[in-house]
Amino acid sequence: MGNLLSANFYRLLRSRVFYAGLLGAVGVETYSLLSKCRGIRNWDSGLEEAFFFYPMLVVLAMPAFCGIFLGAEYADGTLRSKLAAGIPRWKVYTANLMLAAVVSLAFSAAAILPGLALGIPLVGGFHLSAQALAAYLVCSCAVGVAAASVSTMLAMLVPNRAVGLVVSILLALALLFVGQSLMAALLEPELVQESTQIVENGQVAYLTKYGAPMVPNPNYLQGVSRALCTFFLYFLPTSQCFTVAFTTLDFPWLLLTLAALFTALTTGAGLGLFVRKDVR
Amino acid sequence: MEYVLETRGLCKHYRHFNALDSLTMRVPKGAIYGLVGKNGAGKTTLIRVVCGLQDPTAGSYTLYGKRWGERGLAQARRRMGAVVETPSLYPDMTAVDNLKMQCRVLGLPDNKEIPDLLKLVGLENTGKKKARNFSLGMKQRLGIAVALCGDPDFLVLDEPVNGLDPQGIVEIRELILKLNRERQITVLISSHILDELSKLATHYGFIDGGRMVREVSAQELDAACRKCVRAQVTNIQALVWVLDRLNREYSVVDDKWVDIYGAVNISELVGELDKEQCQLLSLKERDESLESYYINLVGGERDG
Repeated sequence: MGNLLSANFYRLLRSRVFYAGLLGAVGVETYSLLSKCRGIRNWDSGLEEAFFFYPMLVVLAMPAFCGIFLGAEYADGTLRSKLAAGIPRWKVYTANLMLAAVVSLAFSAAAILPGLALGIPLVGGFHLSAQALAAYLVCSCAVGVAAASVSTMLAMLVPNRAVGLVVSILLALALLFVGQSLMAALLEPELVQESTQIVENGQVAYLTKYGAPMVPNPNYLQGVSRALCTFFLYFLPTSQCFTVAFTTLDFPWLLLTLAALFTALTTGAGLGLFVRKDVR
Repeated sequence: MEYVLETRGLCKHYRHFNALDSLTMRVPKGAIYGLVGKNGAGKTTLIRVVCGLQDPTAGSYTLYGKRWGERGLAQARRRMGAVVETPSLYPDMTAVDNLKMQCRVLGLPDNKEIPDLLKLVGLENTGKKKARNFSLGMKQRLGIAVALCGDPDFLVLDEPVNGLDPQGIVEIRELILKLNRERQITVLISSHILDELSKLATHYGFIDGGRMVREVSAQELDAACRKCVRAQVTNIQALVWVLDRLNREYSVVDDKWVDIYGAVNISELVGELDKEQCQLLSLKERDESLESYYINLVGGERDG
């Protein structure tokens, strides 16, 4: 395993894709921080309001990175020379997963450093407690590792690099949309002010009178549906990143546990299929 | 005889296609084994299975005495280098970096053998040129150098001269011969270019429809493909008597035809037959090349 890791990192340090990803992480975090600061004149919140957008970037960047970097093993045929040399498949897969996990952490670090360097002078410090801040940082790393795991699985199972790249990026975008929808559904308030539906020129509108009584929100999820939505919000890396980005992480341990479960499941499935796969 | 690779009843089935059908072959140690077969005959599938890229559906193979599925097979594979289809190279790396990568993958303690390998394949002066900018012949030679990392004693080459120019073909041929003669490396090589293969191989395996049609040594093939004239006479016994008297090598094909090897003086032959009251009815020159041998063996179109 050490040999494969050594070879992987030797290649990583010569990879333009990796350095482009690091620069991208720096750029996106800087841009999101500056644009958020510009939009709010009197900033009275902590830095956390604009700081934790990088997990979203990592969730999108990992499929692209794995599709290009790991997918090249199929495209360039170098996977064949590893297998023909008698390297067990599980070692090849695990070494690639470990590399992808480290890259996800590197992308996160590349975003955190300028975020701190710019954010503290511009906005001031975090309003979160040290414990909460640590939880957010650890959870953001867990989100990156989970994204690395599913991206590795796709890159190792789809032999056509272009197809693998497109499939994994589209999947990430689709699941980001699912994550956003889950987040929106769970943030619906339990009670809302009573409003009256009116139709004007065929347009439906809701009129809320000042001081109207609070009534149950019909869009508020309850029971099994709420539990299921919460599960998937904390299970999928594409929705985990929203809870971190919007600092609505109520259950950090649940996120860590489900991120570990997600990583284990995708790795197990990927390994199981890769070991039996006919490599061309 | 000691065999590096043996397959027994090897089968590989894809969804609706039998790529290998009970294929049995033996690659002797020290041989250059030429795998001959037309497109879709199963050559590359066989190489993929032997290299561990795909599992056989049925049957088994043995590499250096280690059977497929046995614990020691991965270790036996360390004695094997392979170039399957295209050379396995990192295009953004130089020749040296490509070899360093393979050394790391194999866990070799140092990179001492890299200059020798580059010299062996004639790529010692490529400097900082990236593999993506190499010619096809250079890529093929670098692919072989990568396969030679770790000092294997069995080299598997799948169509190594495909797409190469005449100069490239000669370079690869000389490299393979050098590896076989100087380093005693056993080589399994598949090729469409039968004429080229006939300049290298010491053993042949003719494969068709996923089956091994025939395995022959180069000597056996030479004997089968020797130049001869096929003679038809009125009295076969008289011809045999005359040929014995003239000290000619021959083989009787049937009760009408005899193959006579070596140069034949027709006037002398006719004169001698005349003394025995035997007439020469026809004489046909036969020159069977590897290609015609192969076509006769498997039939079909000449795309082997």
